[in-house]
Amino acid sequence: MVSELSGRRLHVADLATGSVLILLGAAMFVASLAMPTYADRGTVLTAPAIFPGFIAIILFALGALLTARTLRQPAPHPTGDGLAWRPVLTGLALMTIAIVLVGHIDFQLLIAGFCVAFAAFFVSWRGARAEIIRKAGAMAIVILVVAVLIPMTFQHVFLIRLP
Amino acid sequence: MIDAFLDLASATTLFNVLWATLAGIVIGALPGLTATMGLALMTSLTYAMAGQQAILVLICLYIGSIYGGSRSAILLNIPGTPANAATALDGHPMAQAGMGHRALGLATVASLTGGLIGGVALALIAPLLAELALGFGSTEYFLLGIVGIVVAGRMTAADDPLKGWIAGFLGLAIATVGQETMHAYPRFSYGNLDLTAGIALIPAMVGAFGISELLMSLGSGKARMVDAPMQATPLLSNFRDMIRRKVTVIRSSFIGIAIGVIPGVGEDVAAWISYGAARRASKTPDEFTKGSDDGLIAAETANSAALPSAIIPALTLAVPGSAPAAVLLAAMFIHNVRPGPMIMIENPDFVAAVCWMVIFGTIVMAVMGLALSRPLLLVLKVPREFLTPVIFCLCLLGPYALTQRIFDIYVVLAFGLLGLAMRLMRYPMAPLILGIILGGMVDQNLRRMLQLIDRDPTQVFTRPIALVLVAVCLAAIFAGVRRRPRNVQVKRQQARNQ
Repeated sequence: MVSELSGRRLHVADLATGSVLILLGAAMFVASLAMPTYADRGTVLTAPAIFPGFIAIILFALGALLTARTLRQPAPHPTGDGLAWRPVLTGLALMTIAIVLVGHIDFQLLIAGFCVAFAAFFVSWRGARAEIIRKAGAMAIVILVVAVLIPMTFQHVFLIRLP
Repeated sequence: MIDAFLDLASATTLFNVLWATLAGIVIGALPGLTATMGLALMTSLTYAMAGQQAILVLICLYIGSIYGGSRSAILLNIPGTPANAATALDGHPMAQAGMGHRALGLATVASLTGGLIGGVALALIAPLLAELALGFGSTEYFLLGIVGIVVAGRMTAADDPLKGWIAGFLGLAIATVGQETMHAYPRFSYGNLDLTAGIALIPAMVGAFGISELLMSLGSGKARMVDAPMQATPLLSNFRDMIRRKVTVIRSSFIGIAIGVIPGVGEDVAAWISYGAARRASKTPDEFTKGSDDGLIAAETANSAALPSAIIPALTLAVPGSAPAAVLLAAMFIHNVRPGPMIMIENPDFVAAVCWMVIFGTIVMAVMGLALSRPLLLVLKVPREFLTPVIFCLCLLGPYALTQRIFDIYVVLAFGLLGLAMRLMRYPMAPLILGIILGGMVDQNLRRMLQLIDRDPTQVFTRPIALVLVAVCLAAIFAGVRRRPRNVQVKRQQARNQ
């Protein structure tokens, strides 16, 4: 069961997020200092760096607040919060692979492959023969919809060139 | 209003209202498909439609999906959209007690009432707000953007406002990527043409709301529908129950309208606040979370009243009142409607047409909800593992169809990952999206304001609206910094766990 982080995991995550925000704010501020001021156009008050600089300072301050607050609280004892990481990470891996391959192989083939891989990992193929045949039939319909009907609608009705 | 009605009344409109509302109910009822995601995907599908009809489809889909979410909240104890989380608290115990049909009926009638009152509020408030906004200068627009982020951060992360503010300012930081509008300087692009064009809203929203929701739902196990037999309830008895609880209905409608107008806060917060208010006002607060009519009516009336209200700032200030309203705002720009203070001067008929769209959608939603009560139960039986590939395919093709840039598909993935991390670490998503939307406006008006006040900050305090906005901002920060009473935090946590 996937739920929000809690206990020690959330404590560590907050500490990491606070540190990342401090670094992000600092990096953004340094990067905005390197932007042109366009002083030759009359005023520096419209310089492109003003807004990112302003946001960078706020992000830095919010990151520092989060870090300080987390450090001030005692770290909770580790608890088993029952996160089901395996299905989430498997799903994430499948989606990432599919997205990285977009544009490199035929879209319809790619999305059909995604469906097959998804079915292999997430559909339970155990049980009575009739049940398995029913599930296979349902998955075939899903593949037909996802790999044929939806792309064809976009291609021929909305005149979109598939990626 | 009459001209707008006559302009809109056609067979095409009726057809579009019917299918879009039904599609919305189905999308809302399916756990894992939220109103925001449905609207984001539908925006690309309505790309080729005429402007007014496209907006009509999106509004009806929005109304349908917020209502549809109540069905899974009542029967599965899984809110179809975040706006229905409070509905599940009393709706599901009612269903478990064999009163599922009555709970569905009450939710439908409450949504109808809230939606119609919200629609009237839209017609009354939008022109007034647009007129007020005509007096806005750069200072007010800059402060409005900051107030939106601070208030949305405070209200969407009531237990930990710091996280809400972090999400909002992160959104503003993301909005700095790309070519800025005053000098056309490409910020944080590093020579990449795609980054120079900036991060588009629709792919960001599809990723943050769609992909992250799909991933979360993969690990959330199977939902089980209540198996208690449902006793049929006469339709009139639902209306009688509503009339008996008219105080709750009126209070919840006003709360919904007030919360809906606040930038970026949305229907879910309205439902929670209304639920809390109903519980405090009730003579039998112990009945809440055990199947209270008042609890169910308060939540559903407020979220439906907040919906048209969230469109008010989107139309008149170009600042969305909720995450789905943000997509609607983006869709208006795509269809050459320019929301903002000038809309009542440039395109007054459009505002009136939007009011009629809300009213049409709300009425059709109620008729379909009552008439198709049993067939719609089938939707809840669709296994999630068969639905995920379909939604994933739409998540890829939808944003791509708008600009035909493969870069946008990578944005979907990046925001899916960001959204997943934020959900796990309890950061609200709405302020992030609001930040991305408001980034351009805040940036431009900050620099214009600096130029106008010319290093004299006291000039800000000579403007009454600016003073009010500063006061609201400080009040939201102060309210967020003050520690919340522990029992409130515990109650919210319990509700979330349920």
